Amino acid sequence: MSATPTAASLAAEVRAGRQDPVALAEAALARLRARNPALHAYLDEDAAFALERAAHVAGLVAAGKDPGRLAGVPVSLKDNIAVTGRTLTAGSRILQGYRAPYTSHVAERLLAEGAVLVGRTNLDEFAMGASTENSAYGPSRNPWDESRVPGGSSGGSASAVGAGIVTLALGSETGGSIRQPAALCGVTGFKPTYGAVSRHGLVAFGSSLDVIGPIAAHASDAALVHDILAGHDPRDATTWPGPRTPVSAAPTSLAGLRVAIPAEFIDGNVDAGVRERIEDALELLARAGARVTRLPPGLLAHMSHSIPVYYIVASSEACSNLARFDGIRYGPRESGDDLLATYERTRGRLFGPEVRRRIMLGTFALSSGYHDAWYKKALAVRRLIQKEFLALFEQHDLLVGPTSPFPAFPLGERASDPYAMYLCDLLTAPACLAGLPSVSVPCGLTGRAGEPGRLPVGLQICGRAGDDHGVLAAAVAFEAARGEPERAPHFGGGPP
Amino acid sequence: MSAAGSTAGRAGATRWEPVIGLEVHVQLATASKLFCRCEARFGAPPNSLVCPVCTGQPGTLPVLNGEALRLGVLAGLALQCRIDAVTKFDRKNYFYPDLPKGYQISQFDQPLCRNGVLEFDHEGVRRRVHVVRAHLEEDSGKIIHPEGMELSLVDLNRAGTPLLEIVSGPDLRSTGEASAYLQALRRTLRYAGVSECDMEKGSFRCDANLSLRAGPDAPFGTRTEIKNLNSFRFVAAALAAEAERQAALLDRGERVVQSTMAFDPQSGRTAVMRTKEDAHDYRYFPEPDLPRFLVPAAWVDGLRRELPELPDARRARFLSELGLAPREADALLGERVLADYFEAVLAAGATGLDPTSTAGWVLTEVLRLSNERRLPVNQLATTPGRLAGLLAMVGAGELSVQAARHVVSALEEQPRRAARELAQALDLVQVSDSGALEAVVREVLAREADMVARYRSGKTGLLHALLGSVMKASGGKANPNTVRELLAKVLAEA
Repeated sequence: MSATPTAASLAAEVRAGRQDPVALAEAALARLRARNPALHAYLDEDAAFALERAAHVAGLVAAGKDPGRLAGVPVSLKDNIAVTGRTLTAGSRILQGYRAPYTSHVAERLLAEGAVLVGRTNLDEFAMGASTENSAYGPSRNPWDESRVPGGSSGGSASAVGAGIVTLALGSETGGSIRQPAALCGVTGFKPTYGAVSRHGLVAFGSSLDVIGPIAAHASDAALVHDILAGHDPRDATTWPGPRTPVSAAPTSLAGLRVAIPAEFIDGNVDAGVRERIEDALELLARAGARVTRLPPGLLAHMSHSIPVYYIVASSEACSNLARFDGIRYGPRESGDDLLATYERTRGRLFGPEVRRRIMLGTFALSSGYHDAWYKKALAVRRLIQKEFLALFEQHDLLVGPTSPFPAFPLGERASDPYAMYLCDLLTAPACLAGLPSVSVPCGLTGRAGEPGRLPVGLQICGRAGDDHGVLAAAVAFEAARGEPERAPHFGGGPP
Repeated sequence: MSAAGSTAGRAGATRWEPVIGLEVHVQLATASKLFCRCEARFGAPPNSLVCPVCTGQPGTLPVLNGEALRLGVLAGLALQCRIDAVTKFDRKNYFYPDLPKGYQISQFDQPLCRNGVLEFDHEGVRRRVHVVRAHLEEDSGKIIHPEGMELSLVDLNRAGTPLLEIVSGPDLRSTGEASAYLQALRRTLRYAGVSECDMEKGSFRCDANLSLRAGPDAPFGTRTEIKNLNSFRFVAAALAAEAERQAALLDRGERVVQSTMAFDPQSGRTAVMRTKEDAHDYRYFPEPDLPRFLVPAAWVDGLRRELPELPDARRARFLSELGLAPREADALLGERVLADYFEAVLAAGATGLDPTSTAGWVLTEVLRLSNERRLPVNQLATTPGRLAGLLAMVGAGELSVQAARHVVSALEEQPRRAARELAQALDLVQVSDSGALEAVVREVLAREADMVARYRSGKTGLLHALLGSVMKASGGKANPNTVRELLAKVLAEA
């Protein structure tokens, strides 16, 4: 298997004038057009914008100016991140035809580094889901097996990177939406500490949990993109300055790191096939010099409540965040005889069933008389989970385990049972509730070499709040120790 | 005014004492909105002062305007509130087309200011009204229903402008007291410079809670809330009407149902908008897009020092130290610039002007100029210093009151010339020199020998006519007091 060039090396070629950004963009668009009919990773290819940006970067190079660290690199954005004039459906019919009137902080940062934005990737409606099956525009497919889901909600981005259409994409995560699809598609996905990256321009789901992060074919590129995105943004009051040392400058050795695997991360809910690769990963970590400890059960006693706590907190915030979609100021409107009927029709018909379910769940949890028993109690348990993690990080530098309890599952397998779908978040929601940085890196495929139907497994590496760089550096070191991840069939393939 | 107009009540409502609490929404005088950089201004073309944030576009986030926080704290200090070290925002969720996000960012359980008091005099009685809390929140937009059209229009210029909601305790016992509280509140906030409190522009709006009880010691009755009262007159009229409605219910032995009322100024009546059963459940929860804000005590102390003397304290000083009558003091205190002007005149009058007569000049002539020129008093060419110069001449008997009024207009027209110069140019300076005037008096008396004789025979009323003749002979410039003294002296001679 030939090594895939990193985004950083591609950008270096462009900056040196050895690669034409327009040709790179055209090649990415050709791969997109070739693969998208089967994968449905993209909702919109937006070719004109990509080519215009590529020409702009080419112009800068020609003029002797430095376009930046992502010069000419094709990057795909999840369709819930605003870029002026581009679509912003959030996977919902209620935003069909809507064009963003402003550009998000993260897109500004990428564009300022010379990135070429290619297409708009598919997602579960309003990022609510773990398979993209909740997208109003149809599900995306897993490049390893097109009968399986790519995970979600950033499934379009993960599918695109997993198929090698682009090597970089942005996703957003509230309960696992970056890491889980990255794991299921065999690529790296990083969820930063809450507040490390501005949410300005991200269609809100659960505001106290939402973060934006990279999905990349290489861990080092995920680190580079996080370097570019992170830092204080005056337009998001929850961002913090953070250490501005680039990850590339951080030591990428695992030697001496105190790595622990909590019992709760690898209990009976985890598939045997996944467990095997995690055991391999632990062995690799130890060989690379990390001090690996297996923790007894009970240290994360409240983690078992993560799913209910997460669904109450996120849904409560979501029912409020989604109130603005009323058909009054923008988006399609389904008029009724009076104002109430217009609200009911617009929201009843244009939101999908999962979004409606969570709006109702959140509305219930916040209602007078139930507020204390549900919303307040969930917040209290959330604080307990945070405390347990805090205590663990006094003894350990990193916590590791599987990202997802199971590999990519067939389309339709969990779609009809909301609770079965919610279990996808079992191992990712805790870090979200605690606001911790966590990365999923590929750690091999299920089954044995030569067997058919092998699927990627992701190793989750979770760190202290604010230690985004430590987590990313560990991911880079792990990938260096393991070698380039296995790639999906037809990876990076263009038109036949 | 109806039954509720006085504390005692009248006729059928004699038994019922009104218990009133007011919630006032004050628009803070910031240049921009509470959570975005759009201009906060009244009267611009519809939807011209909007951006992605205040129109609730997806993906936008609020950022707190620091000036609004500062003005909110200033207001709280002016109302003697406690300012906690930490404050936070909450979401109040409800659907309405003038509310772009489907929730209002407000403060629920940790308001910026709490537990204050507003003191004022009402009908000669000292009143202390508890200010339960004052919190920051964003305003909604406006809905316009064009006449004869089957549609409604939404103007979001006002959406997101900063409001301070000030909640009083149920401490008011008559519509008169309620009006006095509102006037005192408005005056205090204008003094503190936190708001224009202009009801016509909607920067001072009131919701009123009212219940009736059998007497001062009886427990509170069931209350109703009258929404959106946008003039002082409407507040009084609505409270009176609602008190009458409740009294009639109670008199018939019926119950008052807890409800939200609307006041119709045309009919002068209140009507039920909704009852408690279909009240909104606002589903308050902490605003996750805004962190908790620290309000450092040192910063608050600095703001406390920034506060000017407030009208209640100033009024007490005007009465006790300057000897002004309550009416004059209240008239001067109505606008801070007017009271400042008045005090500046007194300060500039080195020889010591009489406060009461100075107040008279300010309240008549200066206000006349201000109205004629359509300028606030602090922008008149007639500065306090120049007016003080004029009043000093009046005090010294150099100008008659009549003549001085002419000079006031000249002061305004000719900003570079002092009062004395203008009085001289207008030839209005009074002759008070006894020597010069005595000659005129003797001359006039010689001419009017006949009148003098009749005066001496007992027709003392003729003194007035003689005075007039002397004034006429002096060309109107003689100081009438000096002339009166001289006439008395000369006529007393054999």
